[in-house]
Amino acid sequence: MLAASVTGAAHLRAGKPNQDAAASWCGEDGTVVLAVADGHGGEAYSRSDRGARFAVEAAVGACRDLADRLAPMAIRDGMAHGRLGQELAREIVRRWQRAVEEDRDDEEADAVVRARRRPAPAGMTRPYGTTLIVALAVGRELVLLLQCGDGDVLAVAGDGTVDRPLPPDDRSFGNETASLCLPEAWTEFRSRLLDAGELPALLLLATDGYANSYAGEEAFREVARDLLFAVGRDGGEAVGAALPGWLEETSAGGSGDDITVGLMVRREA
Amino acid sequence: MITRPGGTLATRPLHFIWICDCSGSMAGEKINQLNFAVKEALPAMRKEADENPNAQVFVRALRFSKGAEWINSDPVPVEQFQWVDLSAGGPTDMGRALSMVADELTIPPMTERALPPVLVLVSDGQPTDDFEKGLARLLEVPWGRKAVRLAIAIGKDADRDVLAKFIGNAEIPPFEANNAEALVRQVRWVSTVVLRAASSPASQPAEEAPASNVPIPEIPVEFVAPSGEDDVW
Repeated sequence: MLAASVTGAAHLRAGKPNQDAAASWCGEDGTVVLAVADGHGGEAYSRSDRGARFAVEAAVGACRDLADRLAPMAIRDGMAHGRLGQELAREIVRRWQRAVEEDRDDEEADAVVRARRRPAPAGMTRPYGTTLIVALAVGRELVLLLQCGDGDVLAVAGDGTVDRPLPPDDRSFGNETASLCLPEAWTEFRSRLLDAGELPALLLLATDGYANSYAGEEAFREVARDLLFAVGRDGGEAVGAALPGWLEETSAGGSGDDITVGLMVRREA
Repeated sequence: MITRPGGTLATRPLHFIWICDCSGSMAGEKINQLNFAVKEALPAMRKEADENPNAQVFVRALRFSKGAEWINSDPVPVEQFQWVDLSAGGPTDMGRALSMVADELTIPPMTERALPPVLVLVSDGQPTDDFEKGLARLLEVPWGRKAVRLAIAIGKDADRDVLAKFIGNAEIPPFEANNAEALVRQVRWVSTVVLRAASSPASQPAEEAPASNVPIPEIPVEFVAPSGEDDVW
């Protein structure tokens, strides 16, 4: 598992912080959790860098608890009945809201909201608005994917075939995205269970600054293929060491946005 | 040394489109001042674009009178864009113009990864064709709906209701250009301040009915509530 997050070139020019975040956890039993998040940035989302960090922490915590509580078969059954994805999403949102609640300063948050020219906000979590992508891998048996908002999940098979395992998101277009700060945010999550026969050789989770640095879908899929090849040829450690520099170069020559990437690479049996 | 994964990097395209009323009532000083204002603002527009190397700004102009036509058939990078002086005469086929803009904002030729386009509609009169049909066509297209849409009303006869419908955001009224100086200032503002906002917009949560895909900086009060003392048009 590899992850890196870099401040975007445009943010560096503007003196803004990295508003993305990544977190991961690896259990002794082979359970792995990986999460990336993209805080919205902008005046109305002045604490979204913290919101992104809270999101990945909430996701890792909720997934760890789920993996402790349920055996792979129960996770499979839960997803088959269509309830587990939303239950997990609800738990992540609950943890995120609690972290926001503990962090926020009422006065400053109120001022930020008043400064906006939009209708009244749904809640005080808005300054912390962020997207979130999560992958929970339980041994070699399954991978559970969840996504709220924009960003990309690519699955690369051993033969280099690249797929998007999650259904497309109708809500994310242009710079608009689903967000953890929306009312009933758990309903905004898309989820998918990849069972043993579907597990990719490499799973790429990325905030939208990565894909936006390429001219189109095929050019971006090539990135995922190249990453799988690089891991196979040079090893995960070398790729992990090079990843931040690649992402900085990509942001500077591409979107200018913060870029955060998480990679799960399947070990050969 | 391991090389960076992936091929050629690409900045995000930002399409800036002038939609210009060239009907008979624009003839004379109005069209001359519009030509002057856009040309005068171009160096500042190029400088603004140059300051954000992660956006590639493309500029185009569409004229409408009897029918509508693109002055530049293809998007032109702002650093190469040259304004071609417009002349005026004929009716005000604004609906046709909006339909033609919609055709260019479909995906393809646009990509989903583009920045929100900026559409600036400049008019001094009332549409003579089916404006509602043209607007509906524009709003059918995702990038038409999500574009930054602004309008400049030249003189007292401009149809503000129509321009407000085009903008589609109650918080952004049409700008009031009742003399040459106001027109120059407004054209420069959209060419620079709005361009800057559109070229590096923050993400925002999708809401029930988002008013604008890009938060527009505070509009100078004299653009929307002029004193009237210097009105000429």
